[in-house]
Amino acid sequence: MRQKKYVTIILTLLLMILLYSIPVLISSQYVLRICVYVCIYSILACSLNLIAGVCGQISMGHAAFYGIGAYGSALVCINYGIPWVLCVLIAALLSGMVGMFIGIPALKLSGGYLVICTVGFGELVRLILLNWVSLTRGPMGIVNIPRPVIFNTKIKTGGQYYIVALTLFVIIYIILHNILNSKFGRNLKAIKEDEIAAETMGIRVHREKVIAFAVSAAMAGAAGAMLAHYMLFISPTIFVGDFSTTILSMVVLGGMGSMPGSVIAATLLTVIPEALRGLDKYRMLIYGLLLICMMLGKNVSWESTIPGRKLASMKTAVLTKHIKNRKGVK
Amino acid sequence: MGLLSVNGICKSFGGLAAVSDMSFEVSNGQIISIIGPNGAGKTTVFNLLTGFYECDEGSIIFREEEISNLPPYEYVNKKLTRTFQNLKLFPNMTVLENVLIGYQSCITYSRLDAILNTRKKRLGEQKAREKAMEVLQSIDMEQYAMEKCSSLPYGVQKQLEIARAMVSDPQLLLLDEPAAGLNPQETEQLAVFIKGLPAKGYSVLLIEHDMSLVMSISDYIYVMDYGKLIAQGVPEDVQQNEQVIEAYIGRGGFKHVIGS
Repeated sequence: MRQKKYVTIILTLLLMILLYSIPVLISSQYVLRICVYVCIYSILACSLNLIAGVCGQISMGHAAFYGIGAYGSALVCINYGIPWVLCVLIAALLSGMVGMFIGIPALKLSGGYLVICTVGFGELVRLILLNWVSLTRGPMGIVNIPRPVIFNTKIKTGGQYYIVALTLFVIIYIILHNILNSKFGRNLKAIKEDEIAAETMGIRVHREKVIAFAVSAAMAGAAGAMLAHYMLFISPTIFVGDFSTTILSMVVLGGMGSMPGSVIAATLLTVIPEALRGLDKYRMLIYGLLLICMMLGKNVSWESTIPGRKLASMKTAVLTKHIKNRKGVK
Repeated sequence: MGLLSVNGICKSFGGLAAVSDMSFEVSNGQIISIIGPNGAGKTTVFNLLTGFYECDEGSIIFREEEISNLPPYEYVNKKLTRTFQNLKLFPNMTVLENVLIGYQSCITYSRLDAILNTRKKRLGEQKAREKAMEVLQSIDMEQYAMEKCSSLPYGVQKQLEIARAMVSDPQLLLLDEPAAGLNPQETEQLAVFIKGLPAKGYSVLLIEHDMSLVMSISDYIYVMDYGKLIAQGVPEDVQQNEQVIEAYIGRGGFKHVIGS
């Protein structure tokens, strides 16, 4: 048991070293750009996974929180000249608060009703961004967003941006990991399985859902802040319902409730469209087909392809069989 | 003063009186059963006792405190926990996690502790795990701890649901048909198990259809039919009660059978 723990720690460290040395190993600005997007989309997928995968409350408005974070951070930075790290926190707080206010009524609904409700919310945010011209400059978008400054260093190169985005992703991933391994995470899993039983065991179902929704929204907001100060230009066309669907498909492809799965799926769904650029006009056609094939081939979550998990599930199967046989003898 | 005293509770759905003017008491260390034909309103009484339905009338006093019409999640803190007629476990979670959910009201670290993975959280989790394993050991289930709950045989799952209710440290356990779907051997084990509960500090309110189980372990029995209390007494008396026999078999039908 202890040995296994050490192996996990060493593997994690190696992976971290590898990820952080990417800018040293690769000099192509194009590849680094994709890597930054992988980080941002991984944050989005993992945060949506908390509410949709772990807690079972499907939300189709995640791009809206991403947008609120991006606009919030950009506007605060331009108008008040606040340091970027604070901007990220403000963006997260803002998104989280909006998430909470929307979550309180919306999470009284479940299943299809909740999905439609969040679609409506996403559309609402997009329309506000598009039409509140005095604040958001409407369809013209916000330009000249300042680059982040961290420890008196202005982040300029692709490599630097990648390190910042990766760090943000790692922080959020650790937070999610800690949540899942705590009472809070366990309560969310229980709510997904059976709300009535969860309530009987003393879990305040609605409150837990709202908090999870707010945490998830706050994380999407942080991802938005990263995007705004990387692209240096944002417009309402980025934060459309289509993009919410893309994030949700990352969560579903990666396996509901599996954080490593979400990261792998976010990576695949970012890299594949780029890899298909050579196909020109057939690109999205092939991408769509690939997506269908991946969903069909997935069957079970990515986790079951990890050897340890497979072994555990096989062990369970053998034990169940054994118990059944023994019952038969009786 | 008993542990639980229910005074004249009523509940109707539209024109149908599911429970009307039902009163009963449970004292510390007792096993009390509620029996009655299907549809008599037994489970409705449980739902009223645990806040899933609101009482139209009447009061429920538990540990000298009015507890009717609270939200369902409050009852664990009041030290009253129930199980369900159709298993309500968390099927895709492990056995250990299921028990830990039962224990969750006793875990005190905050969400911030959880996010920062503080020492308080780690100690809290460790303590909870130890307590959960202890409970699993006491019912000989520690070998299943890491198994997914849905992979276990039905009888074991039934037992697990009671264990999950027990870890929340209730004074009164409401068991809704714990023997349903069990084979005779398992039912016998269950009887021994339930009989041992008062010694461990749990009083029991039981709904059950298996008469031999009810008669062998109950201290006192309440009989319901059509939402009303029709008889009560110690098992021997209830067995002889005319009204009870009539409720279960039906007078006319029985005579008809004998007559032909």
